Amino acid sequence: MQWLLILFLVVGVLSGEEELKVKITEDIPYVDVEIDGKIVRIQRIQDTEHKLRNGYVKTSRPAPPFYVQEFEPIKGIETIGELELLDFIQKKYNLNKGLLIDARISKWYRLGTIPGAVNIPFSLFYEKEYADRLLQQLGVTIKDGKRDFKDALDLVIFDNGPWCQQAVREMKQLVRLGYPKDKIHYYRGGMQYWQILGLTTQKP
Amino acid sequence: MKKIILSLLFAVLGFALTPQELAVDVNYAGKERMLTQKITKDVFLIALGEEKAKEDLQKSRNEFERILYGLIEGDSELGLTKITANKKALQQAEIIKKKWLEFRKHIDKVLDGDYTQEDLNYIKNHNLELLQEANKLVELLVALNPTDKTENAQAINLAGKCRMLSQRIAKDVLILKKYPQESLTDLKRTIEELDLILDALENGNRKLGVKKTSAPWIQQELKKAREIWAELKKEIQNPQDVKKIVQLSDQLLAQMDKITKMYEAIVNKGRKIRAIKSIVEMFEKEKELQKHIINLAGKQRMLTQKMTKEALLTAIGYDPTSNIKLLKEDMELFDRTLHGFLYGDKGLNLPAVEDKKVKEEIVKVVEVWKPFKKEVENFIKTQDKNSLNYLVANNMKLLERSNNLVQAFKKAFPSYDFLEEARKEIVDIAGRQRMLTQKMTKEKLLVMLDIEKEKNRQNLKETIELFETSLNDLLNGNKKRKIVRPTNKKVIAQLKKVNSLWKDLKPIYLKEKLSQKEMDKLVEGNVKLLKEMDKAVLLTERVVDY
Repeated sequence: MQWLLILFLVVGVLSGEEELKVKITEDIPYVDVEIDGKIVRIQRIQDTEHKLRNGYVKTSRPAPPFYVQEFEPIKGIETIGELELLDFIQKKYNLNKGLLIDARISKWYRLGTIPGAVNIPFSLFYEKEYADRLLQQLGVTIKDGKRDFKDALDLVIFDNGPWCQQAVREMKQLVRLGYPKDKIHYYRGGMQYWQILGLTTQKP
Repeated sequence: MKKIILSLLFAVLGFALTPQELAVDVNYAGKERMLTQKITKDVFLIALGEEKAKEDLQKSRNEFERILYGLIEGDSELGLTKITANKKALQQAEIIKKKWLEFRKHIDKVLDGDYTQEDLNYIKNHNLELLQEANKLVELLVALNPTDKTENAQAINLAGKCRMLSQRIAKDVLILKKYPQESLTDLKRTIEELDLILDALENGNRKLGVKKTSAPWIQQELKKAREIWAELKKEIQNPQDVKKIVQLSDQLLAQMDKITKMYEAIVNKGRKIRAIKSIVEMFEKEKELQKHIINLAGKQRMLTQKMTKEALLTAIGYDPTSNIKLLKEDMELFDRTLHGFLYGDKGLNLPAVEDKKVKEEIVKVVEVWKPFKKEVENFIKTQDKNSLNYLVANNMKLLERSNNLVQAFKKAFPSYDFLEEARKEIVDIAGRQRMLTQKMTKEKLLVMLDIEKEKNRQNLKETIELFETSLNDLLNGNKKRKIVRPTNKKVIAQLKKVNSLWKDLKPIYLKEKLSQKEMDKLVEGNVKLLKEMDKAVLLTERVVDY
């Protein structure tokens, strides 16, 4: 939550830029994210008549398995919204202090994701060899089979949205592996809310 | 198999991790450059009566030495990896060590408070030599890094160099203060160099191999650095307050350190994401391979029925030339795939099975397949009735064992992904439909040939029912069987196509006596049904939203 306050103070410095018709907030017209040496601008779709035409227009999917998620499905893991996520991108992701994870299976990810997100399908953390290799990339050190999460990165994890279980399963498994809850944040809105707000998506 | 895949994966990762370790080494080697100047600056602050600088000097001296030994021997706390793998870099580190040990003697004297003019002269005359050697090491380490985008690596190098220059400037000013007769050349050169590099970082410079950064947050910080530098330059032009110069140079050092870290963050983040992608890619490949293996194992089930059907068609004299040819091809494919499961087959993209339980199941299939194959070969040559009888009597046993093998593979490849698991079930049921198209044709032929007529008529009825119920479940969903009703338009269209073909064929399967035209329709139709069912299986596997 502290990020949010800082965000309002820092991001507003955009004088001289072309005025956007549809801003993210009054003070935040857009947020830049660095991806592989290039800057991608996250902003809202400027056409106020625009409507979604992809799979995210669906209101209902077979349940089971697509039940609605609790607001805070894992106690101790903070649930965040779009503004906190954007702040995370600026303060953590761009400075290599945090990672934005798309927990969906890669078929979904390839259709489009939040700019900067890296795909780690949730099932991968269930297989020890892969899990340990990945954890090391997330800043975890493993010595004599013991995992040390002291320098583990802050993570924001998301999936399709409140009806999807993939992010929750990934978070549960990370917690089982010992990842500190306070270093994990859940963007519950996922791709559904992100796109409903007309925020930029990117095909990896 | 998993071992093979993982060893491949870890080989790739082993390679991918090296640049990360190298980046830490480059950063520390860069810090050594700065420390040579900071140490010298602190020495001359002390020489000018600033005793408080002793604490800083001690700290910098210890830090320089720890990093130097860390580069040579490794230092896990600092995250430093031995540079022994590269001979040139190691030789360079040894050169620095030799020069440092000599340099250190004079530093220690300053720290002990019993230094002479000679010590100061030595430090004044040799600090740049030490700096140059440290710089050579940085360049060697940067050149070792093959995956870095050179522009970013160069930006890190230049921003890092600014840290050193900030200290060098203060040092030059202090030396001039102590020795007013000294030439201004060094100071002028340092100012020019800092001007050039800051401008290159802000606006890009082709000669220096660096582009203007597109990251707005770095641009902002560079602007702040430029402001500090402007103030520092103003002070240098009229050096009345040495303390302020030192203070501003330290501010510039901290600012350039912040910027260096931001450039490093871009490079390191890119590396980290590439490494993660390679792990995920390997995971996906392994899963794809597992699906491919299960699919091939599933096809073997179908082949057991198809081979028997082709032998029966030959026996009733229905296009024997084509059917013998198909029978031979199917026998060879079944044999090759089975062999591939055991020993691996590059052409079929099959690794040799390592799982003990799966191996046991393969051996059980082989036990039935060996005599079965012998009879198929004999039938191909002679169309002998005894061989046909053998195939009719044993094809279900071969099917059963082939099915056990499919289940063993499924168990060996556990899935933690419930969505994929649900889809797997659908794929399995759809895959089994392929086998049923062949089984029902075989049973129809057995009825026509009057071989265990009543039993086969009953079998045919059951197979038709199973095929029809499963097709209906695939189209409309079945909660009890955990089959989700498809919502994907392509999947629905394909299943409807299968359904339409089936509606056309079903009456022929149920009819007692067939005309030649109906027989043709049955033979062609069942192959078409098999192909369209195969397409439905592939679609189910591939579509994102089932």
